[in-house]
Amino acid sequence: MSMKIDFIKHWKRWFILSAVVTVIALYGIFVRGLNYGIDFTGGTQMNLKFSHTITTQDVTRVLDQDRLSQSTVVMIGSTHRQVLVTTPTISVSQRSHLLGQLKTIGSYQEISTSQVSSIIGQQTERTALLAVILATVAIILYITIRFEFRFAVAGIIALLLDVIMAVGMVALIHVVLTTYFIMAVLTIFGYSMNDRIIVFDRIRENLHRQKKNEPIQEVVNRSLNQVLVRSINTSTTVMLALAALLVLGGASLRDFSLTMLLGVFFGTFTSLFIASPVWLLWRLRDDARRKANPKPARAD
Amino acid sequence: MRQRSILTLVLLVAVLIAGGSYLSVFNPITNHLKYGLDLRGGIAATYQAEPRPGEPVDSKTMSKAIQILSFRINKLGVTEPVIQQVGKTRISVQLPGVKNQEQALKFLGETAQLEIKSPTGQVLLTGADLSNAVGSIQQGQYGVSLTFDSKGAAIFKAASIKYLHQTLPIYLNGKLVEAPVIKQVIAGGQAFMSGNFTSLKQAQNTALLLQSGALPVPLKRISLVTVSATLGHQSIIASERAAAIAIVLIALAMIFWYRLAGLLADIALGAYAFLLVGALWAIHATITIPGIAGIILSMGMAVDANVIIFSRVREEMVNGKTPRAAIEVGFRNAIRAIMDSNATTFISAIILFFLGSGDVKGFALTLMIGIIISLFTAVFLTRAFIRLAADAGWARIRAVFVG
Repeated sequence: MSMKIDFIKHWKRWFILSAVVTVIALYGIFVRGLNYGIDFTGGTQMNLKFSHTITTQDVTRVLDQDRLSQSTVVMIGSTHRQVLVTTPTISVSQRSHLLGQLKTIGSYQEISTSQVSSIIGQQTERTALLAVILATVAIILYITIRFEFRFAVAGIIALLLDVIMAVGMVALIHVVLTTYFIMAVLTIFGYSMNDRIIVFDRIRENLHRQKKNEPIQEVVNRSLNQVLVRSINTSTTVMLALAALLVLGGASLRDFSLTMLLGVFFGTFTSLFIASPVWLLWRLRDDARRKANPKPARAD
Repeated sequence: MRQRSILTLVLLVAVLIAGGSYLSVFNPITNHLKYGLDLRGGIAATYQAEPRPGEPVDSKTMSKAIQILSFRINKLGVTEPVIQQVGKTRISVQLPGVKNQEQALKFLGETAQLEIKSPTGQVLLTGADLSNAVGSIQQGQYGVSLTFDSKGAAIFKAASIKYLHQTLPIYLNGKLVEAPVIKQVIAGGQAFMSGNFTSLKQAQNTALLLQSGALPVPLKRISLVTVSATLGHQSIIASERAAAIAIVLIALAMIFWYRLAGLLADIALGAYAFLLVGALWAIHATITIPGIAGIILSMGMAVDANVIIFSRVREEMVNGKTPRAAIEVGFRNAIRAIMDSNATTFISAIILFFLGSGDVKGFALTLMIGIIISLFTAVFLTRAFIRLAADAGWARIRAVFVG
């Protein structure tokens, strides 16, 4: 029943593994790039269901006539009747003209439309950035008040790695992003801190009961082993819920479920293998400094 | 003591199961919820006021514009429309369940600027002078019967005297519609405008636009979402299926890990689901797709408190405490960790709620309510269950936790 994993001894190994994943993620974000949907870029997306089978060329031809050749046309499903047309930002009259022209291909039903102007897209990005900054500051404050500053910074470092890894994988998979992607990233900000707090809480508790001459590494290791089962079990239930949402929840939430799923996965990993070692290394350095300075200037 | 505990436990579980089945089978709570237009079908649009140079937009202009939009939407016969100002210069409009979406959109964004000019091109009367406008047929022609208010009628009468036997051209949105010759003095303040209407419906629409008045500021549509009722229905089915599968998987995982305690936690999770949906119903929240995502996600999170508690209880038992003591210590120690760990998720949800747009707010709200309710069900309800089970001396409780 009692597993014993030495999380601390091999911290370099875990850091290297994280560094490799982070580099791959950064490659995804900056080289391959995120696949921003119209919520960010502005544009119009129409989901049309025709009464008979059509080809994408039929639709592209109409779009070309309307000088909308930067548009994309994607077939939905295998019936060859339903298409998703994405155009750049178009005016109200351009849209109705296009809808009229599309009738020349055949009669269709408009399943859904969404149209976003680029002003809104820019605002979405700005709001997201503001939200991320606010969340970071609020979480650092909270952990500093409830625990200590070192825990807060160690937690945030792990959190940022978690978010970079998750977003990088989303970029590599190249899912089309909607505003729900931002919703997912912000939820990860709060939720993946969950795990770290449980770990920190246990370290704090065990430090109070630290036996004489017990090295601090041992305390951290024991704490991590004590919460390991809980971490895995909790992440599993959340990931089960997200997997059900990803597979069965329909197309509109795909980016949300995928981002959250990756975020929870990497969150658990970074909680166990990054946050605690970072805290420990920092703490050990502070302790060493204090020993060198017999009269500590500041109390901890 | 022992028998009473068994009885209470069985009764408690029976009441919860009876309540649950009533709310899910006999009178499904899902029938009483208000669904958003991504699940019902409909239109959501955001308009931005684009002020003309020298005419700044103030709160009065905006409320006038909202009033006019509301009037038009009421004429469309939409039930439960939402029209609200967003920020300083934007209006968001939500029309659930609209059948003819294209026509509704055209109707909303259009302006009908009526002008009757003198032969010299001077504006005599505008739409603001009307007291009524009705689509009608006169002499086989579709048109709009115009009725001017008393001031307008006086001006119209004066004009018909002044320009008798001349033309008084009528303009709609700056375009010449017709230029009738005034054959006699018109005293009653009545006129008939026969545009080139091809149907009575078209004439009626124009009449309604004239009735609602001209928008005080041009509105530009900056976002639009339309969802057909079919797609909405598919989304409901998809989300319900996802929710059901998620619950079953989580419940099985809990039973697999924690056996009887897991089963009791599952019953608490069921109570959680009903309390959460009930709370959303009670505050008249609109259920949208992201909101459902919030519900499903929060169920995965809600069992976390139980996982923390059970792991702790198991640990205390392994360390040699009696079942009863281990349960008490386990719960007490776990609650602090549960509070702290939920706090950060709550902080993120608050930020999302205040910065997010409509449906993101719904997600954030669901998450916040979910966290609070899960603290209740996972901590207090499960504790009651487990204590009763321990008192009942049921099922060598130690074996249940330690496995």
